[in-house]
Amino acid sequence: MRILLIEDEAALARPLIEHLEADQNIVEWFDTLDEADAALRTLDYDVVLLDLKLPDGDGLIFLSSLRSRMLRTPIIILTARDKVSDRIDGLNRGADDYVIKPFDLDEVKARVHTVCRRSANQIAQTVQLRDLVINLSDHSVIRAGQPVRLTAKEWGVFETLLRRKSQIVPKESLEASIYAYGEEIESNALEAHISRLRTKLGKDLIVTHRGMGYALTK
Amino acid sequence: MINRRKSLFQSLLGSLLLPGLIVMVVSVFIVLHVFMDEYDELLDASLTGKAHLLRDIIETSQRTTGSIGTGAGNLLDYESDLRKPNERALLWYVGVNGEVMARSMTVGTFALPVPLLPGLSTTRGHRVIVLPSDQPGMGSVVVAEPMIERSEAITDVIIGVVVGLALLGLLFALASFWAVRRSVAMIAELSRNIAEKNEHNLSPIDRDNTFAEITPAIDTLDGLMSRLDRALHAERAFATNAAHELRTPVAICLAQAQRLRAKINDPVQTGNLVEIETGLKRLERLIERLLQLSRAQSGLGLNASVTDLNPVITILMNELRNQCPDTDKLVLKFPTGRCLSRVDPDALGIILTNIFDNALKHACGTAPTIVDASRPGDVLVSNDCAPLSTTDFEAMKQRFIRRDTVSDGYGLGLSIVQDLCNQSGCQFEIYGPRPDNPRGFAAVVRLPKVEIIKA
Repeated sequence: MRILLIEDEAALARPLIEHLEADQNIVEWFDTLDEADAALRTLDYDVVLLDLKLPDGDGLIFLSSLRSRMLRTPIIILTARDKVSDRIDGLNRGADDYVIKPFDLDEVKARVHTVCRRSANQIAQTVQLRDLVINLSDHSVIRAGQPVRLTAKEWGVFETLLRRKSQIVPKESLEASIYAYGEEIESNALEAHISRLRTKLGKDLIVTHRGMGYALTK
Repeated sequence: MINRRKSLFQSLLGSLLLPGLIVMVVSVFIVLHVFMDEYDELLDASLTGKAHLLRDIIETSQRTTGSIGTGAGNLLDYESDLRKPNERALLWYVGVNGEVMARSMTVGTFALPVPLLPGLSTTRGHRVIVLPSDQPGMGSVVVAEPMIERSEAITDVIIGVVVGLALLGLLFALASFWAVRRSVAMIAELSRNIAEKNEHNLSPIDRDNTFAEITPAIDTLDGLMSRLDRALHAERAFATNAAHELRTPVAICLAQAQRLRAKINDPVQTGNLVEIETGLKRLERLIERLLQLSRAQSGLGLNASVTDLNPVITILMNELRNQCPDTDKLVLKFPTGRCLSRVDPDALGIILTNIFDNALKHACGTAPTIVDASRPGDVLVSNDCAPLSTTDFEAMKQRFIRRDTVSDGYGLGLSIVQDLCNQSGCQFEIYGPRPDNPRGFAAVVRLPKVEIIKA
């Protein structure tokens, strides 16, 4: 998953990034709302982790502005504001979840998975697709009873397709889901990952829509 | 004994009207007394003048003719054209020895007053003057005028004065009532304005309805409210800022410790990091309690307006389910519809968080912990545990009184709950063991004056 972290405390952001990256996610971190806003206008993210007290503004106002321009990306508030009224305010403004500092890193990870599942209308952590059993929590895939090993980037591509099941996902979106902001993208790297996924998970699992992108077969 | 408070309106009206009306009544009596004296004096002078005139006429006639003649009794006949019969004057001419020598026709059966003393007197409804002659050997003239005309005149004057003063009194009463009501209305408006002030509204008092005499008092009150407002804002800002300033460093330490633990394989170092994490989590709970305490002491309790409290209850119950997802151990009965109340959502949040924490912390046994918010306005939390002895239960209630030291124990949380319930008007009841059960513990929070809107 591609995660956007907006947090002005570097000492808190670093371990959180490490923890989420260890879970095969791509995390991009910004410490101001302006930079985060620019990134959100450029790239698609699977989830946004938003601190409320930032140097250039209030995260709640930023949240409202994102929702008012119809951004549907799940947003989790990470804040020290612990009052119930703050929580209700945050959720009413469009946050998907509200985590109060200090938090367990595993708890944040679990909440990220939960809101992403909810966003993709997937209630269960385990998804059945043809002869595949996919566990979104531990990123494991079983095909016809046999475990299949996927690399981090392969998982990134597959998960992105899975979350937008039955939709055509543009090539740029798939590349964005596996490469960090500013990271150099190798030519035909995505095609190589798609090819390996077809080999591992089924030849006709992923359909190519010429000039448009890729989609999982219905 | 009922302590009845004095009404400013009644008091002012009473103190203004009563003396005014007494002064008017006394004035009526004084005016009448003076009038009667002066009127009597005037009529007496007229009567005396009439007697002198009659005496001179009679004596002149006597000197001229040698006798008073029979015409003396007819001297007052002219009055028959001017006055009614019962208003006409009576005339006697009495000789030196007291014999009646002449009398007017109007005398009739009216007898001369006895003894016949010179001067004015009143007898049998008549004002009588006896005027002896100042010539030797001459008699006296006696003239009597009925008092009826005099009484009528005085009665008319009394009626006129009383009616006039009554009208004046009525006008005075109406003017007093209007003036007092206007003044009291201004004070009542000022009183309402002041009564509307609370911890959420400490704006300056409206000066439109104030008198110059109480402006200094209002200035002082405004100053005090302004100071209180700043103090309350500072107290609330402290809790908010403290939440950020205290929680963020703990969050950094906890996150760093957890990352470090994920990276190392040495069991000793892992054990050390686990202990650091445990200490940090304990610090986190203590910070939470201190912030709750700070908010409770800043007067958190009731809001100026009503809000729906069911989202608060629901969000806290959902968080409780996140803490304990096992449905065998936790049964949740969510509220439905809307529950409008003036209870501050943050106050209710702290109350329920503490009760939920205690229930999970002390739950043991086979029965699940139950949070039942399905009854509008009530939240019941019960957990299984060994039955508490009466001594333990009483000791627990005693611990609602905050101790000198601050700890992460049961007492502080419940003392905060009790404080917030007192401030918000919520009822907080505890049962040990649970009702209809020999085991367990139950706590009930009943919200005050709620408006229930069913789903």
